[in-house]
Amino acid sequence: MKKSFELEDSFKSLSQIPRSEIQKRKTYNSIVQTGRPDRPIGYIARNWTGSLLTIVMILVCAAYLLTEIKSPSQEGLAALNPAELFASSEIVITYLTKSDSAEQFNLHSNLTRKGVSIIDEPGWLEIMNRTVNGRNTVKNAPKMENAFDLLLIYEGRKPDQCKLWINEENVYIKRVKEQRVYKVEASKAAKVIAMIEDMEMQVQF
Amino acid sequence: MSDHYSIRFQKVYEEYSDKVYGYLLLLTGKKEVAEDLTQETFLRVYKHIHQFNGDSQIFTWIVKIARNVAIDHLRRRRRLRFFSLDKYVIESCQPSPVEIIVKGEKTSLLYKGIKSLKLNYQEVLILRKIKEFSIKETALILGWSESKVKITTSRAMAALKKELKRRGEIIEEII
Repeated sequence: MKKSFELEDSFKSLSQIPRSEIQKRKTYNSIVQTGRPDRPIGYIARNWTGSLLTIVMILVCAAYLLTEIKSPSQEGLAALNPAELFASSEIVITYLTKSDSAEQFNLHSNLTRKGVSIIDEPGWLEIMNRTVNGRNTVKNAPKMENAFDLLLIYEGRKPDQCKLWINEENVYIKRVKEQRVYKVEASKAAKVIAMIEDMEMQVQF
Repeated sequence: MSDHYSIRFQKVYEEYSDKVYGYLLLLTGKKEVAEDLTQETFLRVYKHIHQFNGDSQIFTWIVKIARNVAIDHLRRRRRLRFFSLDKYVIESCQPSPVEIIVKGEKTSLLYKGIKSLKLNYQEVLILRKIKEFSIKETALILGWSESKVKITTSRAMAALKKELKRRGEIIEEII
């Protein structure tokens, strides 16, 4: 028993190892200077206000931009649509015919058939360009009646299928797949109406 | 030292760094290495103190980190020795730092006896007999089962006694 106790005592004496206090301080300073503690989730949770506000602001901005792109306001200067974001191509030719209904679009094929008017007159093309590529949209457009199907052919871009109608000396154009309605500039509307009336007589829509 | 975790770390360092240093000195046998490894250990503690969940005593958790740091160091040193001439150097007859520190002949012989054992035995003796960790805590630090701790301690003690006997008549007085 005595020998065992002595061995235990020797073990305990090995437990007591002195250490330089200066070295201990140096080591501590090195640790504190070298590494900052990784921020725990709890720390973030306690300081969530700033982070949350930032995230909310980003989300609000993103949502606003998305809304403006997808369904822009209906009055005044309209927001850009996705196609316009990339490029505003020039219209090179248009096809016009009488609409059967507000829902149907008749200019899918056989564009040279009787009743379809092909228009590449520069003045007309410029008016169409300015109208559908401009921002002059109207919020409370009059109801679409006696409309025309208008196919706009672009250079290097898919055609636009539009509805065109006349109401009280004003001309309105609307892309089939969009809700917004463009209004031809008042000074140009008379020319458009006159051309359509000429075409109506010539091709007998 | 501006936030809660830094203040907590300071307290932990003050309370346990000497003990960790002692543990690492016993494992490595060199003061400078032990101090470096103590720094590495507490650097890890400093960075991860918020992750300590209180499942064990904090000292047990720190010693477990220290043990991992020491094992990494020993493995690194072994790889280096494989490629260097160090392995051909004859061991010096000068006393080890521990000998100088403890200055007791019997204690010094005991330390030499422990250091001559294989690493498993050294580790379990340092933790169970010198640092007086419980079987459960030792198992946690070493990542062993409690039964393995018991068996290995028993075998280590037997091997130590055998080694001490082999080392000479004077050991008889100890054991």
